[in-house]
Amino acid sequence: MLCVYFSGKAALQKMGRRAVGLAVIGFVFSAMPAMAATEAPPPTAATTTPAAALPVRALDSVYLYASPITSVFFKENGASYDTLKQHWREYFRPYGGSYREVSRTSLLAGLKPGVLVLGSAILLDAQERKAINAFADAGGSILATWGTGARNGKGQWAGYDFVEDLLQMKITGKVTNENAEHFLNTFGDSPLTWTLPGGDRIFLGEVAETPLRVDSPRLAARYFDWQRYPAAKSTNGAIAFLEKGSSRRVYLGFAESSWEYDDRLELPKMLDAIMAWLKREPSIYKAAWPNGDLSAQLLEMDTEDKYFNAVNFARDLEEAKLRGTFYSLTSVAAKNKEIVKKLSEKHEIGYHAEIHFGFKGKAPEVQQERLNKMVAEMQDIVGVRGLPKVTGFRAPTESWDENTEKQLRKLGIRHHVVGPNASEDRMPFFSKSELGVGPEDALVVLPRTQMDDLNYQKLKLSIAEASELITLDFDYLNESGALGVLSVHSQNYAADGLMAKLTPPYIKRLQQHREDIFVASGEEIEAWWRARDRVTQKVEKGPATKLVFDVRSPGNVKGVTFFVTHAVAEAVLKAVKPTKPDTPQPELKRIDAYRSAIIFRQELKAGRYEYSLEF
Amino acid sequence: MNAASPFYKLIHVFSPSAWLAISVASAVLAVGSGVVLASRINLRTDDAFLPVYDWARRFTRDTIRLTFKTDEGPQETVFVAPRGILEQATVFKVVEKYEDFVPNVMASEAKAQAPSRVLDADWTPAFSGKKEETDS
Repeated sequence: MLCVYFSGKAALQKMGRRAVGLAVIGFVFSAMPAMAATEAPPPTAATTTPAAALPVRALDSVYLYASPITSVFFKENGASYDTLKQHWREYFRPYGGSYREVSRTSLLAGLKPGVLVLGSAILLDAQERKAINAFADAGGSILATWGTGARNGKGQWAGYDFVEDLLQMKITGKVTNENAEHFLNTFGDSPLTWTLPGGDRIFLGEVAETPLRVDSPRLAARYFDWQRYPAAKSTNGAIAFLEKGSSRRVYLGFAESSWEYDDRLELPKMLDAIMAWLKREPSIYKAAWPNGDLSAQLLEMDTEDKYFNAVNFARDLEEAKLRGTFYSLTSVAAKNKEIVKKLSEKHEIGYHAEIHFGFKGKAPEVQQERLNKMVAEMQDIVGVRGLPKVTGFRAPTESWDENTEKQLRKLGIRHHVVGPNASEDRMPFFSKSELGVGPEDALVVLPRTQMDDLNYQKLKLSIAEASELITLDFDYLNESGALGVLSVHSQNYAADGLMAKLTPPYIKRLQQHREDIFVASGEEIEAWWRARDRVTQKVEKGPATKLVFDVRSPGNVKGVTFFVTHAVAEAVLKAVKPTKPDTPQPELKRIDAYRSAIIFRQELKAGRYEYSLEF
Repeated sequence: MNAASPFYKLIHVFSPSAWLAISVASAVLAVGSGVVLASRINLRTDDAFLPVYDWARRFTRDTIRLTFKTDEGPQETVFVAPRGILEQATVFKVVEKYEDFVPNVMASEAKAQAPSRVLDADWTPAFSGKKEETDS
């Protein structure tokens, strides 16, 4: 569903739109959505039926709780609850008749199972708490945000027990404005946030409604600072979920006021996936990585000074039977031809320019001259026959611009490893430097969003501390379904160098996840991203009952995977049946309690593929 | 000010105390008119004036704070919920009474129903403007 939630531009936010928003939204328009809403129906017998006895079915009704006590409390203390609630009203507007704003009387009387949204309903009295728990026990789903239930019916402090019990989680603190963790990072391909790319970085603003930190084994997003420094796991949970009996619950640690800073309108997309999960509607979506893998990893070396150290890195990779990429400074590689030849037997050789100076802002003709020289030097190193295999590039100091990418494509380069500021998420993407270039020809850009050896050196950590940090970084990448790019420099890979000590344990960690991580060279990741783009899924509204997708010419797609969310935990997908004869049969795999994977390990040719799903 | 100017003459038509009396009388008249108008639409006094007061107070407060934010403290943040609502130690006015949320239920209109012959290829509507009867 494309949501109509509208957020004002950042400039307006800085210019007192809060004041105007309070007045105009709260005073003039607050009643409008309510006019369209109808009161909840009277209680039914189903509300008292034990959860286990209820048949599992998708939930249609969506309720926004209009907490009257919270509303009065806000007003009495110089604020407006309507301003927070208005965000939900706008988000739910396309829901039409299935959405209602409900009163306390209706809540206490009992609502038929649906999704109950407790949007920053800070004040809840004992009766309301009891009614909400009864609603959940009867199979209703709950979406609670921020400080829901933190104060009692009088407005006195009650703590976070209510949401902690509801979600079986712990609130461990606040993200204050002195902290830098003002960015939400969502998990890609997760049952709750699959509508966003892995590691999507969403600014939550520096709001007075400071987000709450969550510690839970079931998360769908975390708070990070801009560079995604890997803080301790118990301190940065942002979205938690729980399925208990026939009730599903989701908690968002941030208040609705943070939505105003989401200029790219990513949060409504995320809420679409969350609402589908809460409504127990199975969703089907194309996975980011092949063969049911949950994340991807590129291990690469910027091979420049002390080129000979590259063999140390190659040895570590080979011992783990992994293939890496060596982006080589051609002027230095020219003096180490034998090493390049040895490396190229098992690994990928890429470009790291001819000298170690960046490209950004240089005149196009200067850049062209430099890149031509780089290719000429590489041809001299790997020979005419070896040159077409060199298709990757990484700019020195990650300094490049549109002209660099335009020239690279002309020179036959296919992928480009860039720095962390090139993208808001942690996934590959097609270069936007040239308009009108299709996905078969465009550069595939691989953002390095992981800390590199230079970052670790700057932190001046002990080996043990750095090792802990790099392992944490890996776990965060893996859980967010992202592309990890571990970048090391040849000058730091001497036998006693920092990265020579940190990388082997990291590789060991990768091996432990061999079953669910796509560890590949730059060219393999680039080829997969291009192949994946040839697959277009036909998406239908509502619960998924079939899978229909097209494979664009030239086909040759191997390993494409679709994830299916379960209507109930462990209610795995039982069968995927082709609707036409001679259609390839995919493999089914349980990913976790909430997801199954449909994997096409065989090569798919161009054409349409249709399947029916059986749960 | 030139004593011969029309504006000078105008403001000296009445004495200052007379002008003050006129101003007060005008204000009373304006407020009284507002109250009469409000009573005609069954609007309670507090319903009519409190939101305006509230709006004006918040607008003034936020405008002043945002305007001088940079000078007075760049770290100062805008808030929507009462400040310190998630701080245990913050003292607030407690809620003594409240009224439940009352949804505004729109009058249920008759459900639109197209005549079944609308999909009949042989039916040619006249578009006379006269109300058509439905099938029900």
